[in-house]
Amino acid sequence: MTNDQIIDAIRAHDWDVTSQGRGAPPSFGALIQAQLSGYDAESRELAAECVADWNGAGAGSLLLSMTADIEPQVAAAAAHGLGRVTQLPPIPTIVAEIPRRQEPFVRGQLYKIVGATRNSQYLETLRAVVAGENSPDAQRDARRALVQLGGQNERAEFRIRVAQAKPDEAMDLHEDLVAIADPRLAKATLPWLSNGASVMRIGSDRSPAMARMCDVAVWTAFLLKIPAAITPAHLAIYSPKVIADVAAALSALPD
Amino acid sequence: MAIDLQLLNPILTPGLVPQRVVPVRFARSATGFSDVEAPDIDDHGFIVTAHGPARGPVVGVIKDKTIRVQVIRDRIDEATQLFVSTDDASIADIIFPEAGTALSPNDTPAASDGSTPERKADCIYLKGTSSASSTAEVLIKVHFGAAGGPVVAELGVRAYPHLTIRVKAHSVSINGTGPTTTIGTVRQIFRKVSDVYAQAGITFSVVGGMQAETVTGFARAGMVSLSATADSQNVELQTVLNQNPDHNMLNAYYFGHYFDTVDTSGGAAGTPDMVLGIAFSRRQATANPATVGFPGCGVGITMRDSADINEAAHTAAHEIGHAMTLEHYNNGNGQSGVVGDVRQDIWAHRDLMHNFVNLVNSDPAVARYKSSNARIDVGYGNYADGRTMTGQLLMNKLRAGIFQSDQVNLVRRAFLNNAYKPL
Repeated sequence: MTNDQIIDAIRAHDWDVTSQGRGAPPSFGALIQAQLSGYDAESRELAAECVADWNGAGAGSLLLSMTADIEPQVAAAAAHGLGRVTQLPPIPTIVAEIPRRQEPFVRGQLYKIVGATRNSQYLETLRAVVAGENSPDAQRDARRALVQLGGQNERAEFRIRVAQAKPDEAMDLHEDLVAIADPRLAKATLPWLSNGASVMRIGSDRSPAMARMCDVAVWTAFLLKIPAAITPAHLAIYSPKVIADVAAALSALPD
Repeated sequence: MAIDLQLLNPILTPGLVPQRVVPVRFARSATGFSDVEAPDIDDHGFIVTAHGPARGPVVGVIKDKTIRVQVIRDRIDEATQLFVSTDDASIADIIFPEAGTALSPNDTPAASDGSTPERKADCIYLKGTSSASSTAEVLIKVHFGAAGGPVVAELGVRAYPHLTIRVKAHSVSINGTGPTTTIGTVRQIFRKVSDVYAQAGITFSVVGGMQAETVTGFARAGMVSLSATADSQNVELQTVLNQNPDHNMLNAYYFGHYFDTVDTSGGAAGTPDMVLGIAFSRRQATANPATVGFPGCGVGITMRDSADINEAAHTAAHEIGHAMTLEHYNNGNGQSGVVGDVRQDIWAHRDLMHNFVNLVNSDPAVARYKSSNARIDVGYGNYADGRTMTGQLLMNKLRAGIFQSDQVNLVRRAFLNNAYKPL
């Protein structure tokens, strides 16, 4: 498709166009930027998807600016897109933009993008921003980012939070542990292994079988490649033997 | 208006039995299926830790939309004048009663020139006015006797920016037998689903026609067979969910029937249509990757044919809750009977994520707390066959001790996190 055809498809809310962004020429980003003010919310959301798929020079900066969109649906799409592009804007620029974003989810995504760099030189700058964060959801994403950037205090706090997790925090923390990808942190899930509280469905309304805290700990250990006797293929209700095996493996990890 | 109060010291008056007097409370101003203009309210207790600052119930409103909330005069006479104020009209404004005017205990007819619509008795009409791109909260107060009189009730209002979920409907032919559900029915269903999710600021838009899908080699024509294998690992079900999913939308797969081979109440081979719908979020999909002979857990909802539009819509709304990471109300408490959950049951019955779509007073062993009228009928009406419908409330107060108590916050976060979109 030509640039003009893509622009027309975006204006017409044709979602099949998203895959076309990938082959768009270098001028695509500037063209989209010029169109944005005339687009409605759905077209802006669609444009964010196309720009992320295009992934050309300037895509990151354009998407970062689009995370300020007044419509959270558009801002979130831009934030997701920013997480996909290969050329990010300078990280200090992203950090500086975080407090200016109204939607906590968008701030959370930007924290995650900064954390994914795992570059400790951004730790103090990000800490300063996180200090002013008032959304509990965004704070969680921020703390994960600070652990990824090497914050030792945040790492210690994270371990405590994992160890003391309530059932409805388990899946979020599981996702954080997998994203941080430090097998030693899995040791903090040891208390989960003796907790049979339900966390997430693996059956349906017909068969309301729920994965328990202990099952999520086993699955987390597997994803973090903790050596254990049995490797599960999926999250399931594991036998006491599997749970005991993982407990032994986690206990053997250094603190 | 003067009120005589006599203060008693409970220490000096040991026989005193404290009573909490609630002169005024709030309620849903409609009965039957969810009404976009009269949402239910989350009136779980008074103590909140976040999401809903009111010392009382909380209701949600979409930006630029008007809703009404019923004021119930529990301990106040109809003749008493009650006035309403908002702490911040730039978040939620009071459309009716007008400033300086008391609530009317009687219906107010529409103006003859059509300039103002009919207003229902003792109802507050609120408009979401927040222009923020994130959720904003405000308190609505009911004053006794005068516009500046003492506050006798508070209602929290959460004004939500509007979110839209686009829906791709699929018509799945299984071994040559397709569903009877048509695109027209799907559109009807999702209009009603939008009515349910208006309380969370979310609407649904069905895009295009129904995409025809064909699968073969299933055990039964027109049916997905369910077995003792977890549904997230069921090859037939997951094969359906992997048919041409649109990666930017909620994928809704319609087929004729489920056939439950574990439930033998319908015969030794199993029972058809014990299940109305099954859904999976990205979390389930991530936790059940593809392996040899297994296509991987898909993301979206599967639904069987239903001749009752309310049943189909209620089920779709419930399944979408699952696709948006919600579990059953407080993880099934209020229904299971295995936990000390008597206190939870009425809220469970009112909640969209209750374990069942209908409430019955039948077998006490499985319906332990369904024995009073209040528990059997929560005001959402009946299905075509007369069964009483479970409620459609999504909670929005974060309360310690209730699993996923801030359902609206979780659903909105799941939305922004693409939880309902295929991996």
